Amino acid sequence: MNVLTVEKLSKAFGGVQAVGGVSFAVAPGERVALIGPNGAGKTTLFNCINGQLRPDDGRIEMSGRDVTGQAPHRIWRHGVGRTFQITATFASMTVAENIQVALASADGAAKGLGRRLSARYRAEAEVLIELVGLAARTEDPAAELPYGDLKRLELAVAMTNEPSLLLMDEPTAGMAADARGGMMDLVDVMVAERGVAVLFTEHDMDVVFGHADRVIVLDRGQIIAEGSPDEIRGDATVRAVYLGTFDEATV
Amino acid sequence: MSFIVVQAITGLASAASLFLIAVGLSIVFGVTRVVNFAHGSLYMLGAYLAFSFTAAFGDTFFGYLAAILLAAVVVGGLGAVMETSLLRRIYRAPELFQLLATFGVVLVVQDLTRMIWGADDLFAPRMPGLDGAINIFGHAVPEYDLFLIATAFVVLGGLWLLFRHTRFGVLVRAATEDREMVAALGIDQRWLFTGAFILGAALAGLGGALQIPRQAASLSMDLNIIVDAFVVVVVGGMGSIMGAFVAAVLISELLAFGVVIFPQITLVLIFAVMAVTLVLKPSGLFGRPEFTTQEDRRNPDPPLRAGDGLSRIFWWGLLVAGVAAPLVIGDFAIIVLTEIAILALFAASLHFLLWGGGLITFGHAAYFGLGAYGSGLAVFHLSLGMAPALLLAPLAGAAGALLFGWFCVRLSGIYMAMLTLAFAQIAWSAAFQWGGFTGGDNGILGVWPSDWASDPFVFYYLAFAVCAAVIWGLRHTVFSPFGYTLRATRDSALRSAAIGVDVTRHRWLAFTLAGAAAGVAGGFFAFAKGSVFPEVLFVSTSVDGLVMVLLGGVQSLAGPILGAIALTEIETELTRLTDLWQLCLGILIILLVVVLPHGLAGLSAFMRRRQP
Repeated sequence: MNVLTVEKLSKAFGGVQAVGGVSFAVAPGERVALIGPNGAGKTTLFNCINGQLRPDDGRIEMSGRDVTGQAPHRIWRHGVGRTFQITATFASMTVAENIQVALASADGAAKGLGRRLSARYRAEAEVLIELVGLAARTEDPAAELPYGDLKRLELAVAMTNEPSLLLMDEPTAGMAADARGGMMDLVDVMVAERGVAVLFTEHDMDVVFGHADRVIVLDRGQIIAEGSPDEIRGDATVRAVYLGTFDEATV
Repeated sequence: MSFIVVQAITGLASAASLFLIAVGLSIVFGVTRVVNFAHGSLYMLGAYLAFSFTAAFGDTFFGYLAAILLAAVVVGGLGAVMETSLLRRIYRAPELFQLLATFGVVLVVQDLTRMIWGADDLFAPRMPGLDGAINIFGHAVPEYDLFLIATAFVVLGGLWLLFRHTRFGVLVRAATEDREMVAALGIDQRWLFTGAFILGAALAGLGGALQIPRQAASLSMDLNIIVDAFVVVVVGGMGSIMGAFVAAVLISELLAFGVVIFPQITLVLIFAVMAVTLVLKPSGLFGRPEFTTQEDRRNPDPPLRAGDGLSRIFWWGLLVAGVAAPLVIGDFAIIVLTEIAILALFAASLHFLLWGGGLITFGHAAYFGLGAYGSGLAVFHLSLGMAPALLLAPLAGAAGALLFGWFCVRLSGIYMAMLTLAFAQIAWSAAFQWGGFTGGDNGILGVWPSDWASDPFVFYYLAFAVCAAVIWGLRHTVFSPFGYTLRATRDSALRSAAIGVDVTRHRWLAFTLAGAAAGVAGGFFAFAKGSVFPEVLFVSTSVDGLVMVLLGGVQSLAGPILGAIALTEIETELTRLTDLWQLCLGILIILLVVVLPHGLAGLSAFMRRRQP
């Protein structure tokens, strides 16, 4: 069964059709990149899937369950981890606490008034911290982490509910070019070791072609091409629409 | 039919002043993003100044008109002084600090006004030439009411022209819509801010001055009008002139007809209008949603460190001191000590929301007061003993927080602060209006402890034990998964939702928990005083709580306790020395915000910084 199925999804703002009848699916363990020129509707589509926006029409299924129009905190319950274009972490907490809080929520214990959080979920947290390579930073406040480490922390937090799908909005945005590969290698580790599928948007074509199994190209709210990185690289329509605007933008 | 028209005119006349003050508040907020609590004080000063000016040269229509306009101009000038001396220093401070600092001005202006004009209400003569009534459908309508309505339309038109056709007006609009953009254009913002503040202040002064033929100038008009104005801007939308106008008319007409049709429930009507508006459109009828979202923590708190050596010594020391103190102090001191224990719990429950959840509440008195009334009414109407009456206190506090909180947690930042305040003031007014049940102004008397606890020492130990236990419970909650999750929603609501936290619901639960804790404090307060008066629900009680939290230091769990001790001691000593307690408190608040934003706990850092 697909971890994510999007059927004829539409969303308009005023008179502008940001997403117009988009359908695609993500299989378990698959890495799918969602690309397109600025204004193509990537962010709108993404926000419909993660629950921040309610689609006008269409249907979203996660592992066979209809989740259309559900709020973000409910979407998470269906096994979806998220990272943001600009990292969102808990600045007043340590690296370990950031993950412990998420683990408590995953365990359904967010409203618990009993034992102190610092003494709970410690071992599980350390496993995740180790996995993303932040072991030396365990007790540091998130506010003091460099940006690259924050991205890693966010990925660890997103993995706390053992998701079947990771939604990553520009996972390497704001990172130095040489750090991007490392970040995406880490994502590949999650896919390989934890069997999670990844749907991500990305501007860096090296990242897209190097780390996606399949690429979906969006333009003006429509899917104009879909296929393996090699197929997309050779697709004439994509070159005309996507790279064309890219060229214009760089002129 | 004729009755409806006449009643509508009365409503419009009330709307006129409300519009003038609300629009000023809105303009100032739009440009500076500061909600000026002292806007009501400017309104009050307008009324008092107009009283003096009309007494001097208000014998003719034009003399009277000149007196009103002069009052507005003078208040505008006072606004300039206030903006350049105080507001300029706090534009970058957190919203709560801005509200508190301007509330400090309210207290200072209160005492100064009392010194200059005295405590009695002042009645001005009617306006010459407009002191009669016009017959409309057989009903007498005061000419002055029509003059007021006309004035409101003239001001609305004048503002429209100002904002469309002058450079200043265009800049004010631009700043309201996109502040960074205006800054980027290289415009001198200081000039713009001062100008907008003078305009807002003058409008408030005009609104107050125009009131004097209709109502006496009194020392309570500042807070009464500011709460109404908050309701208007919350309903109309912050920063919107049209919103202020429409909401002022809506609220005033509702009151004008409500008084006739359901005189007992006019407050409930206002409550309902606010509630419906906020549910359907949280940013108000004409407001912009971006004002309500804020996820900006430039100076995040350090992570919590539980029970390191120093803090352990502090908490155990506090406990020992609380237990041992009665052995060495006298009978009066034991009463003060009891009050400190109760207020420490009140402050701790407020701190739990404020720091633990980032929920800015300016109406925490509501839950303290509901606890006090819950206990008091149980004794008065049900003849319950002390113990069962005290058990009702947290239930009353929690019930109020459950109801009000449901609306409040849907908002954030300044909107939340204003809404919490409005709810608390509604509870306060209800305690007044519902005299048959609550005793109204006369309060509830004879709320004495049971015989076994009637000795002040016994009652102290009871209050101390319960309050200390609840404070410990709140402290423990901060470290529990619930408390961490609450702080998570404060740090990043976006991330919290992404890890499955229902942010609104979690905040609501925290609000209710804090309401229950404040209710416990309120219940003990009732028995400590032997009576309950509406003042427990009043904004000054909320502000006392906030001052305690700030005085002690908002970033420290020990802060509210230290603050309660310090403020109660300062107040006890100062009220013995001077009757200008409000003036002193006001100055203390302003100094706290401007000089010592981290409170007593941050004092050492401040001292270090001052040394070269």
